[in-house]
Amino acid sequence: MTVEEKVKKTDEIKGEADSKYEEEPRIGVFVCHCGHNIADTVDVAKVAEYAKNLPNVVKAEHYMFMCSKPGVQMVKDSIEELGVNRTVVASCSKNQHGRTFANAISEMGLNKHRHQQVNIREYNSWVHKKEKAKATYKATRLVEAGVNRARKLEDVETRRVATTKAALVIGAGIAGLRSAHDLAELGIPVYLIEKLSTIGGHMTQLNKTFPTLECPQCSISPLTNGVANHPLVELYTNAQVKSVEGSMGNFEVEVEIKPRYVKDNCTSCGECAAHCPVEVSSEWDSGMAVRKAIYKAYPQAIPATYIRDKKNCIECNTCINVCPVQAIDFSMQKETKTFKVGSIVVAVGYDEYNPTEIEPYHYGQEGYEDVITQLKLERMLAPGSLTNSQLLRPSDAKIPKSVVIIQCVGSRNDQVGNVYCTGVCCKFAVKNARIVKEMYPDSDVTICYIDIRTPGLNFEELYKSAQEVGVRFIRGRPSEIIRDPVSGNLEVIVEDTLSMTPLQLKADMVVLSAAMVPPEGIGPLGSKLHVLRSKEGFLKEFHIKMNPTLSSKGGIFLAGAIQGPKDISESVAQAGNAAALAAAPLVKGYIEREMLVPSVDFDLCVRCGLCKTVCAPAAIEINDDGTPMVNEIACKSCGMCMPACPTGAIQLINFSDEQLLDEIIAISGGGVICEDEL
Amino acid sequence: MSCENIEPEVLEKMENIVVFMCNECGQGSANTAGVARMAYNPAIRIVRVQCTGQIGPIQIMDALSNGADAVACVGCCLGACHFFNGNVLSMHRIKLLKKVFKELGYSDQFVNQYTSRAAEGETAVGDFEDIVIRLATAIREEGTIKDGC
Repeated sequence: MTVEEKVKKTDEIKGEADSKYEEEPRIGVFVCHCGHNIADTVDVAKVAEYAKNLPNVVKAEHYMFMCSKPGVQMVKDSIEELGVNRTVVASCSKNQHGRTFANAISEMGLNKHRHQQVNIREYNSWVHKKEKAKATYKATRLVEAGVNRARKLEDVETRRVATTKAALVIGAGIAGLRSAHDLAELGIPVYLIEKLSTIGGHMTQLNKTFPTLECPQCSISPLTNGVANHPLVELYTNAQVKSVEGSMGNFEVEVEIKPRYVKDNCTSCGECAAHCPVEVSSEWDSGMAVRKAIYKAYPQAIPATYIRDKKNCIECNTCINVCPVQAIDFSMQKETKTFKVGSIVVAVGYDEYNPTEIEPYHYGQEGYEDVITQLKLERMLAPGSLTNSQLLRPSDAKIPKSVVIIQCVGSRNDQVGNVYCTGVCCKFAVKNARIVKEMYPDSDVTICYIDIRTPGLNFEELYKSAQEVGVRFIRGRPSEIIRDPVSGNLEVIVEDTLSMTPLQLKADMVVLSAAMVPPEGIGPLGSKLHVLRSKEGFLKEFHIKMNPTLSSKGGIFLAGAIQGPKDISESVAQAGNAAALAAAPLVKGYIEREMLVPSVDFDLCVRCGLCKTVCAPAAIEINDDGTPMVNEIACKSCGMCMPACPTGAIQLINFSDEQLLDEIIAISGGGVICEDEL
Repeated sequence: MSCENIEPEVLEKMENIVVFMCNECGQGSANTAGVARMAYNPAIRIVRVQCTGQIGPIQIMDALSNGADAVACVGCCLGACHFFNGNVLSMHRIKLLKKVFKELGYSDQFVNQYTSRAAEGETAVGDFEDIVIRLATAIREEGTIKDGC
């Protein structure tokens, strides 16, 4: 929209507003007794009598139950008989019966927003039972304020905005897959994009899932296959979001897809990898296995197409020569695709905390190869691992006689800045301790914990079962892992805080239960999506209790560990909810929005852009000429932009400075004609 | 210090206390307090706004110049704002405004910011009591804002 058009549009809006003011406000005031609830404390007749004398009030009545059928009929009749065009009902809270009267006047052809609810029950009669005179005076103030507000109420139009029937799911871990599958089952075309070359995320890396010790590959494969083969799901691996434009219902997302260098006709025969001379450590296996420079992350990987690691490839062209279907093509380029979608589900999961910054644990240092993280342990124990599912010390490939598991590494730790409890470490530590103890009954397995937190169905049982097989629990956070320079043996220094005993535990192997932290690259992704992050770095939910699935921006939903540490069951549950919420406006085909949005007076605007800086849902965009443009769909009607504006150019409809002023005058005791009447 | 200890002559001077309450937790807690019949000072008047982040110096000064003895904003708990961070924004604004009041030679107790929880009426009533107590202190020390302190 050009500036001229915009100015014209504002002029039109202003013109409409002016014409609205021209129409003489005719206000009907109705004071409710609410049986004895109000009338016992407040002299309702006096309040109604007082309201009668206020400017523009054409009718002021009091009635036993305004919300009853005759009460509502009274409101309706006044509109018909006296031409009342704004109603004020002084009764209970807006939440309780505000809608009743708003609907009633809308049945009579008036805009819903022309009703002003004044609460003289919860805010007055119920809390000032003993002070009747003061309560009556307060009621008159509140009613006068309501009348003042009603006088300038403007119509708020409800607009239907068509939505794009497609959804984007970012991240193809368990949460992303669940969301994509659920969305597709609702008949919505889904674009599923994944940063890595395979889908399934962290779940596929696990050895067993708690509390039932199930094989995660077996649990997830119906979902991975189902999503990959779903006719409505378009899967893009090696893909990342480049930019996001638009708002709720209509987004335009640019996605960059990196090349695999292997075409889709790959039969996954593995000849290329068998002949590739380069061997590097496998990221997917957390370094517990090696892979070639042309590889498939794991045998069951979906998509099954191989991928060439360009960084490590020496370009010997062996793979090209051995490929029986000529699928390998080094000339493939990255491509950019644009998707138009109505909803976005963000399910980018988590990263395992990197404990190198905790100096006393010496993780990743030379001589401390036997200090590993839980994810590495999972990879070591998983079927088909380099150690053949045996637990072997990385330093000398011997079975460890003593394993010490350290809890709360990177979580519940002020020093590294993560105060939160990851919540799943206790569960997987107990699970892995039990598995190790059952595999090697002669080995000592010790868990050093601060508190064992295994809440929920079946988890206390899991904890008990670990105790029963002989896992030792020591309450205390280890201060250091030390290494004997001669023998190379590790020792964990910890104080058993229950018996107040300092201990020096011999450890052939130390497993760190590292925290779940926000994934790498969430900062840039968050800013591309215009969603806000919590101070821990996870994406912030709209409301922790009432809507933990919606992000700070409408139309963008969170699924899984990106909203905060979660286990698989919780991630799946939230992902299903995200899919349902994301699907709702797309299935309906439109979103209905009350245009309770701010408008900008371009004559007053000084183009400072402050309104944009305070706008949490990022609904204000700055045009090339510096003027703000309000995205009416993204706006959440909070009005935060109003005080930020130095000139008062941006005003929220029905909550403008001018409209609030009238209410404030009456409520602070100023008032027009009210001097000392009571 | 509690409300009961405030002298009647000080209480008498509190006629109009304007409280801007947000549409979410603020309103909710006042409603809960009402349902639980928790009594508070009848000078407290509630103005419903979308979010405390909507309230700026204009509204607060308007209220004070039109006869309010004190103004307060009550928003959601920190971290629970339904519009993300309006309560924090408001807190910053009130903090700045308090400085302005001091500069002008007024007590900084005439404007305050609070939070409340919709599920707990006590939080709103506690906020109201605190407003009254702070205002009483200010009145005792410097007189009301109408006296020009």
